[in-house]
Amino acid sequence: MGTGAAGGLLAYRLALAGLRVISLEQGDALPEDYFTHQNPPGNAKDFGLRPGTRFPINPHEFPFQHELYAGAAERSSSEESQSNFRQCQILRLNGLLNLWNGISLRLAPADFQSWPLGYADLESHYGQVERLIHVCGTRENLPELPDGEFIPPKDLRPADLLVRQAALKLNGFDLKAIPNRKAMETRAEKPNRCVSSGGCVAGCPVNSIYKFSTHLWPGIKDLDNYTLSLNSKALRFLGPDAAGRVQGVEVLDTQTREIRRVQAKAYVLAAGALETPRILLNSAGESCSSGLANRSGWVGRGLLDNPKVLLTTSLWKLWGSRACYDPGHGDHLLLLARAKLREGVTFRCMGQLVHQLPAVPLYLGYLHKFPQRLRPLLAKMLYRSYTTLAFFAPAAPEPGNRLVLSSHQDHYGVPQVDVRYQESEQELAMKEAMLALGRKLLRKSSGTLIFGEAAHPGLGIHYAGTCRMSASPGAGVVDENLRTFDHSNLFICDGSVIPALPEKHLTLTIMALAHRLGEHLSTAVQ
Amino acid sequence: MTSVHFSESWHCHRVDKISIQIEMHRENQTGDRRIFHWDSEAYQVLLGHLIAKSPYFRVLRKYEQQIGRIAMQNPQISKALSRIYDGNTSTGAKRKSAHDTRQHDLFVIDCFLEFIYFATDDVIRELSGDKTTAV
Repeated sequence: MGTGAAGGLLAYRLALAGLRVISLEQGDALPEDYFTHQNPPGNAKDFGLRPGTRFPINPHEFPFQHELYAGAAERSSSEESQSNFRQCQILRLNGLLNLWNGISLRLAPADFQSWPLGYADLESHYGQVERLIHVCGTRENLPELPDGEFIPPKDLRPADLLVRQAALKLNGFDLKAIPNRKAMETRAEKPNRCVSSGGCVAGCPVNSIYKFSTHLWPGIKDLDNYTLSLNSKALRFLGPDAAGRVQGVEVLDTQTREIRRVQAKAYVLAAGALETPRILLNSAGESCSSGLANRSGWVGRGLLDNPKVLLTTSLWKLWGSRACYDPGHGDHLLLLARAKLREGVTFRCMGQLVHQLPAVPLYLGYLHKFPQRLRPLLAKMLYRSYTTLAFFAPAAPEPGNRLVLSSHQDHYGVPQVDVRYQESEQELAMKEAMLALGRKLLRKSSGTLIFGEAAHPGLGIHYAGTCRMSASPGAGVVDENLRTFDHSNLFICDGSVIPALPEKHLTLTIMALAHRLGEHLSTAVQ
Repeated sequence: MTSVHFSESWHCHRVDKISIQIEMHRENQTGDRRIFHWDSEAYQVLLGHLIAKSPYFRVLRKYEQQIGRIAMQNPQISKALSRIYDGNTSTGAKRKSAHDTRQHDLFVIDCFLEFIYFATDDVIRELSGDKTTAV
């Protein structure tokens, strides 16, 4: 269930191994010309405005107003929950990968401390996934960020060089600035090479960023043993039988509204860290009154998302610049740092520098305080110097941050989940510390006025922890092979199984877990 | 038959401090006059007027139809226009609150028009260093 980061890759792996596979995807596929004609990135259509754009523009929230993000009546979580946790969800083939930024980082051995498996268990899978999705980057030999198998990155631009220079000079933060690592085609001879259309989070018009539908699905779509079933929304599981095996899954055809039953030897939930527990909680029955696979009580508990801050400025050293350079794909520079809390405690944070020629004038969000007559002049200065820095911190596990079944339903009549989420004092302090670090770095890079703010919880879009992996049945939902403790033929593979969220982006790790599960299932099921 | 009347009882925020009031009347064949709340014609007239009063008029006038279509698809903009169009019939404290709402609506429209101005090809060419068109 699901065709996002894990579901797509797992289906590919299992289908090539000869298993009979059906992928259930609740949404439809986007039209082939969606990112080229219907809704291209940049200001190619309607000046970059979307029906959901709100004024005055908040530049940091603008990307999340994309029309592909599900609305209140469609998403997994209730509208009431959005005030404390803003869920971003895309109900289409590829899921969130449709607007994925592509950042692909390996976790370091130290990041696996509370996992029932270690870096060595995933290392070869990381490599195989990197070869499948083509990750660009450079080998840096950093213990906190293991190298992978890379294709060459794009060149750094003047803004990247300014910030990298400043990072070298800024003492006390263990700052490192390296070329970003993204699942993006950069090789000139490839037809889908990056064409520098700006930030990837508005969609890629040339399929340079990895997506299941463009990269892997073509290799399995004609196989007799593979079926992709679109508009098929998993409602709930049936069973379990006396042996604890799930008996089937009830699926709603979202176009005809017919409900059918799908039966299989094994089921894999890969619907995302909010939808997966929602399906399990909605599958409560006589033998499992608190939800399927929930004997431990951990389903829905421990929701995680990386605390995130954003800082925007104009780098004055770029004012008046008419230098001709490849404007690129937004974020060419990755920053690794160690920020300090007030008590002197330090924590690792991961940043990315976003710099692009702003065809969409998001900078206006900061110019309202200036008289109208000055704005054209300021816009001119800003145009080549507009720079945003994003930092992510590790998420602090809080069992109280959880999902519970809601009294609200989506427009198919399926109960949504309410999200109970509160940022801890530590997370708030980390956000403050990252803002302070970001200000120092941007000032050193010739930043002028700096507009910094903490992102709303949920806008990190690194959702994890709600069906955590653990070594013992009482402490989690799945074992190290992602099999649920309660049901031998039910597996979970998405962000929900990740028990602890370091500062690094988690998508590559989800894919590596899917690749590993593919290996496990192709032998176990056969 | 449709007629449009402008008066100067409202203060627009940053739209050249020009006051606007639009009342739209439709006379039927018997001569009755009734205010109607919304139609695309009224909408275009109101938006056209706001564009005409914008400091970015010189560029925006070329995109008037496109702006109208985008505005109609955007719930926040169309609601703001609708409220401006509906006018102010309240009194006392309610009148003050309605005044604040109207100021905010006009501010929102102003931001919307300014965003489009800075996203037009004419202006982007200038910002990016191509001097063929003046900002």
